[in-house]
Amino acid sequence: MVLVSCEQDQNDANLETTQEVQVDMSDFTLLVADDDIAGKSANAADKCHSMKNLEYRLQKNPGLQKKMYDIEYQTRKAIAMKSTNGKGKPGGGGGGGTPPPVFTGPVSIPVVVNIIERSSGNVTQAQINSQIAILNDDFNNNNSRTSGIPGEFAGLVADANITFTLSSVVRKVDARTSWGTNDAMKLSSQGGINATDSSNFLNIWVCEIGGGILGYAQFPGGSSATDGVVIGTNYFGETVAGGIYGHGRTATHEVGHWLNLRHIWGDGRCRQDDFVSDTPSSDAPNYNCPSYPTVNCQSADMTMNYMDYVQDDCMYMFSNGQNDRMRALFVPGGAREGLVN
Amino acid sequence: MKLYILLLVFTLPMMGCTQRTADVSQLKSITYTASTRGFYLHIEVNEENILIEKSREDISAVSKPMSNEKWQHIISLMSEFDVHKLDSMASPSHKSEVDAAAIANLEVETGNHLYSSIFDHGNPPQPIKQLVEYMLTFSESSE
Repeated sequence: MVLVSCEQDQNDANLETTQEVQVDMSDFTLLVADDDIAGKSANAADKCHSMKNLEYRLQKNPGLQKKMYDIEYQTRKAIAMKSTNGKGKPGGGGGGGTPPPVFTGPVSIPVVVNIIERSSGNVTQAQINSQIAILNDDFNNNNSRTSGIPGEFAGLVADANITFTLSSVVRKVDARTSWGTNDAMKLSSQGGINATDSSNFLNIWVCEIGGGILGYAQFPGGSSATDGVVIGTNYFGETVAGGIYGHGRTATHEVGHWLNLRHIWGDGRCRQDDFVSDTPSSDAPNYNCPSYPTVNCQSADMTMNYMDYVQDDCMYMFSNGQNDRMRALFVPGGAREGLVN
Repeated sequence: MKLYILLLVFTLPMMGCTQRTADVSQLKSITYTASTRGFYLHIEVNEENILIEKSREDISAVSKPMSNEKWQHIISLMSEFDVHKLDSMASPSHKSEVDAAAIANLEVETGNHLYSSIFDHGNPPQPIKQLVEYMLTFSESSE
């Protein structure tokens, strides 16, 4: 097995590395949304400690953590190969028939919207359509606010070239006002709506979440029964009730997580990374609408990135590095290959 | 030589202990902040005051006096864990990484140090659980 100890873990990663690229997994600790155990300290001893915890967890839930580790490993390998090829390394991947390390063509993702509403028709078709349109703007570099980007980041804006199409809408009436963040809305056994074929569709659940949570996601590699994103009713699409969060960017942010993106500040202090090389280091989220430059960890934060915590109107870009991370999922054998066919 | 070693063996742990109590006796303030895109809660306590903010814009800030009894209770909860270990305490869950929990930050300010720990709002590391839960009662009673 791979994750026996820190050192062995490291060795395995090196063993599997192809001749051309080195993949460093030393900063990766395994993370899942619910009751996970991995610490994220930069301290090596703590990492080792979390790996020991991981052994326990693997016994409890074999496969899940391993899956996330493998996805991360494949992602890093793909990105390392892409940059090696980009530099025109002699003899590197030039031969015909070698598949590109990250998926290069347009991606079209069919969407199932699962609506749990307090009264029938509460979430209108117009609201659903507005959300799909916003996702399409943001994942095709078509957000009108992007033109105001500071020069420092202008060259990093990605066109993810991902299109979302509404496939079907599933509705259910339920009076609950607080579904929480433990996936009850995704399970009919708990009063929710079961996911529709999550290896071939993006499932979006719309319901009252409560607790001030606007939406939440699941990283690739988790359970297929709960795979997808959840958006609070008032923050789904264009709404008046959502206020500064009423312009559909919660879904953009959550779909970013669903496509393996981390928060841009790396969910920790300066040294903790989002595993993307072209996003600046930061130590905390930004809120509201920050002015440029907002400096943390000795560089200007990319506050306008969809993976920060600013208000809807003030986020308007994915970076090229984030785009590579997302696209590494769509290659044959990738965690979301089922979505491109 | 033996005497030296003996002396070291006995004084080293004692020094640690002295420092630990010294830090708690120099406790200046404790701050608990829970924050995510749609949620903000800030609780700050010191020997004189309790400050509660439920909006990032400070519009709902509430300040009330701290009683000696409550402050002493906080001091007693502080002695339940080693404040020097706060910065390296592992979070038992990581729901905030996918927005399923607000990000909580507990900061303890002593005479000359600021210690902090980051974890999911609603699921603090075990050693500071009692202190965090007590801090949260201040915000409940201010409603």
